[in-house]
Parts: sequence; structure tokens; C-alpha cells
Amino acid sequence: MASEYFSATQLHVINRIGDIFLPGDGRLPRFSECGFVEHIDRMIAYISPHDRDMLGRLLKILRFVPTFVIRVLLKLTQLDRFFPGSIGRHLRKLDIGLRGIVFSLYYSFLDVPGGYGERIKEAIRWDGDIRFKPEKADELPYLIQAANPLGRV
Amino acid sequence: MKPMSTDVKGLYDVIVVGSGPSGSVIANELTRAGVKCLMLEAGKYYPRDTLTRPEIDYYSQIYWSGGMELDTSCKNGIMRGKAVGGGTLAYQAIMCRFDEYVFSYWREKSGIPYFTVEEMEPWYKKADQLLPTALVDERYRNECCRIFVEGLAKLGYTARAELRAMDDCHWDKGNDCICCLGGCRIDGKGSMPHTVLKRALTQGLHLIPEFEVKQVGVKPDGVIVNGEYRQDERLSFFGRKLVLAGAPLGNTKLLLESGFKVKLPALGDNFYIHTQWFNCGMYDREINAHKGPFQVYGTHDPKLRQKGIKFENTFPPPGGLAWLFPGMGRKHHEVMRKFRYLSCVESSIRSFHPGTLRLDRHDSMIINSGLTDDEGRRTKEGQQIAYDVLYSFGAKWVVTARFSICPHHFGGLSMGVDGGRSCVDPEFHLHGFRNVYSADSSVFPMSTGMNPVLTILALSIKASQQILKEMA
Repeated sequence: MASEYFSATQLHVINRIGDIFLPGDGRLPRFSECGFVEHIDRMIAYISPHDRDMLGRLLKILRFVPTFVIRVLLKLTQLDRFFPGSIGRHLRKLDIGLRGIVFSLYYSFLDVPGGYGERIKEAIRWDGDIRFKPEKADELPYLIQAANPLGRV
Repeated sequence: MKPMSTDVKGLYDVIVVGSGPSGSVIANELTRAGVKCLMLEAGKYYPRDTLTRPEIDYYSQIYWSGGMELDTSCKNGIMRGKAVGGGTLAYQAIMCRFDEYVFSYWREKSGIPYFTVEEMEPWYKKADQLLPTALVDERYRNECCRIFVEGLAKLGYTARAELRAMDDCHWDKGNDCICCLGGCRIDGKGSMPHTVLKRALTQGLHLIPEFEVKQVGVKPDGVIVNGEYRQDERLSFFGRKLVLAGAPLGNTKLLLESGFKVKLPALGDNFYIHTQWFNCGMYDREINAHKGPFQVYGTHDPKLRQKGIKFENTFPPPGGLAWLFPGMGRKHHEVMRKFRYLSCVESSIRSFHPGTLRLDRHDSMIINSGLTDDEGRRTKEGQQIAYDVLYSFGAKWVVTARFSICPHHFGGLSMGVDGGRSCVDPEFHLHGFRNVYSADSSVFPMSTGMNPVLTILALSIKASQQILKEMA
């Protein structure tokens, strides 16, 4: 199992959603082929248990929904301004949550088998970097450790 | 109020909850005077060598709730740091003094007479000494920056170089500040762990990371602080005094959960945000907005200040960019492959209408930003100016983010002389609780329209002097 929180079926639904957002175009790979979903716990572990539970339920429901219906739903989330009140709020929340998962996984240039992270980096020509690093050793970890009265850092 | 554990693990003169700018400054001032201090921080400590990590890790790990907390409209994402150093790890950069325009609002709202440029200046001067600051040399200004400055000038607005908390960022050697949004691995950013907090640690501060304070109680001889260490061990600490430095959401949630609303009726009121909107333009040439220094220029133009609109030259990293902007499928791929052709103008809107912070039945925060049609109108006005700037240099198309991010939030424990309408008195005590203090952005009586860090530092030094006076 790739995730402590979601089943293989739920992860498959994320891959289906990911492929709607990111179908690939020859130079950029399709979301599901990258295998990034295996790293989902790196973000899911930090959201609130309530939000995680809600997301898990949504994924369970969506496993029975055809892909073209999910596509329509995702397009609908972009039209939230036409839905005032509670419906618009939920559409926005869905949009923010699902896009957050898919795009964070995709554009983090993760080191996965097949070198997909590197391929994406090259395709968008991302070269942000910190090239110069300080030579002086960092004494802060020792100060932090020494300052903890529980002594278990 | 729920029952509290009495398994007291330690006795301190002062317990500080939160390790952001206010907590770090107060801990530094107090430990320098020989006060026995304990700092409790819910987040982890991230050593320098582990920073500059993939976006997926830094968004989720150094902010509460895995990145952001949405307000009730789900249009605004509140970002608050959860790490040793608090939000300063990620976004502390611009250091500016508030002007009479801000302080006049503050005086009127709070009734506190010392909110003037003259009376705050000595505290600002002390705050200036805490961190290395500098202006970015013009040689390193990138094309995004040039479009920003010259585009605004074409429209009759002035942008000025911002004083940034930073040491040497070594742009000459090819460093890009956008990589430090999740923390700076070269100590270039003046974040608390590498500046003020470090000094406090050498002066004897005790610090427990990964300790989430769940409840505080006030007793006649001090305060008891109850919380969880690494989510599985419940511990309590006793102090003579308590400093709340967990920012608006953290402080308010803790006090609401601890039952203070009864004695502080204004608790959770007077909450304000700055909504920040990324506006991006696509060009037919490379802009390379992600290269070199970042957040170099901002507007302090009086015309814009009056409208509560500010612009900064920033740029989101790839994951953030993809997340914030509309579009999916092949069209999205097409845009992202031209990532280097994008430029950005960030418009920031000051809210003038107070919102509220409350708890739901699961003790989760309900964040009502209080935004009205007035903020909506000014948001559109700001976006239009950003569009004009971007189009004036030949953008083919321009788009605005689907929702705003809000790293600046204020109030919840606002200062004032009236205990019925505010929570913190002019001497930084909670009204009616002489041994509980706060001086971070949660005490701001109103929003500011300016970057708040320097003022948080100044108020925290002032609060430290008050605490020391009372301890003596």
C-alpha cells in the first residue's frame, strides 16, 4: 500500500482526476504515468483529520462515477462565481483541494522511477536554484537540542 | 472550562507560546535580562541543510493545516507558519514603519495615545538593530521587476525599493530567492531562528518544538499551560507570566478553547486580512521572473494607500502557479511550458471591515474575513491596475489567481482601552489578567495595508520592557 490513509482504489481515483487536469502533451507526461500519487502522504499527513476524512469519502464516491462526469464536475468548479452561497463555496473548496493535491505532486519534480520529475522540470525549463551555500557550519541544531528541557529532540 | 492536567513538568518565570517574530523578540529581551523563559512551539525545527525542499513538502509542513486555512467564503486562504521561527521561516522580508495614516486609524479604534509616528520611533529604532536589512542592488533587478516599476510609472504611480530583512543572498553566484519560500538554506533571509531566536538560545532560553499548547489557565500565583508533545504526551508547565505569540488564529483559538470568551467579550472580534492576488501576464519573450531576488519593489504611493491597495513584485513557484490559476488539460500544459514567459504583479487589498474568529462544535476555527462589496470593488480596481501594468509592456494575455492568499492577518485580540471592545490593554496585558501578555499581530487594532513584521518587532520590544518592569 502506497498510502497510510488511502486505499489503492482511492489512489486510482486521484490518478483519474490527475489525468483530467494533466493529460500529457508529448513533452509533459500524463499525471498517472508518473507515479507521483505514491507520495501523497507527504501532504495528506499534514491536513486536518476532518479534511482528510472528507477527502477520503469523496474519493470513495467518485470511484463509481464515470470519468466524463468527473470532468464535468471539475469544469463546474471553475464556474463557482455563478453559484452564490453554499454551492459556490463547496465548488471552490473542491477546486482548491483537488488542484492542490495534483499540481503540488506534479510540479515538485519528485525523484521517481522513470525520471518523470526531471522530465517535467526540463519541459517547463525550471532552473531556480541556490548555487552558493555557506561554508560556515550551522550551530543552530546543537543550540536547539541543548535548549530542550525534555532532551528528546 | 475543561479540566486541566496538573502533571507539572517545569516552573518558569515566563512561558512564551509561539516562536515567530513576537515570541522570539520577547524571549530574547527577557533572557538577556536573566529571566528564566520557556518557549513552546507547535511546529518542528527544520535545520538549514534540510531547507529548499520540493514544494509539496514545504507547503504542507511549515504551514498549519497542510498549507492554508480557508475562510467561510472559500475565496481566501489564510497562511500561518508552523515551524520554529513561525512564519518568518517562509515569508519575512519587507521591513517598513507604519505611517501616520495607519496610526490615526489605530488611535481612533483603540483609544491608545502612543500610536503615533513619534512615540513609536524609539521602538522602531530598537527593532532596526535586531536583523540585518538591506535594499536589493539595482544590478540584480530582473525583467519582472522592470515591468513592475516602469509599468506603474507609466500609470503615474511610484514604486520604491523595499528594505528587506536579509544578509548576503549571493545573487552574483546564481541564487534565486524563489527557492527560499520554504525557508532559506544560506541564512540570507533574516528569519528568527538564525537571528533573534539564536541569541535567545545562547542566553539560556528553553525551547520545546512540536509542543502544541491546548489550554491555558490563570491562577493567583501564575499561569498553567497544558499541551501535547509530539501528539502523544500530555504535559503541563507552570509560569509566573505567559506571553501569547501564536498570531491571530493561534492566540484566539487557544483562548476560546480555554474559556476566556466569558471575561473577554471581544475575543475573536476585529479580525482583518490583507488579500493578496497574483496577476500574471504572458509575453512573447522570456521574462524569467523566478530568477534572482524576489519581492524587491512595492508601492507606498499615497493615492494607492488611501484606496487600501498595494502592489509588490513577486512570482509564485511552479506548483503554486499551477494551483492558483484557472485552466486544465492541454491548455494548462501549454501555459506551463511557457513558464519563463510569465511576469507577475501582486495586488494586495487592505480590509477595512472587521471579521470574526470563532470555534465550531469540533473546536475548528470558523474564519469570517468580514470582506464586503467595498473590498470586492477595490480588489477589481487593483487587478485592473495590475493588468494595465502588464499590458503596457506587451503582455498577450493576463489572468488573475482564482483565490487570494493571506499571509498577513491581524486582530482577534485587538488592543484598546475599553475592555468591552478589545482584549489587550495599552500595557499588553489581557484585560483583567495582569500576568498574560500579547504583542504580536493579533493585538493590532486594525489592518495596516503595509507589511507588519517591523511593527511586530517594535511592539514586542515595548511589551518586553513592560514585563521586565513588572517583574522587577
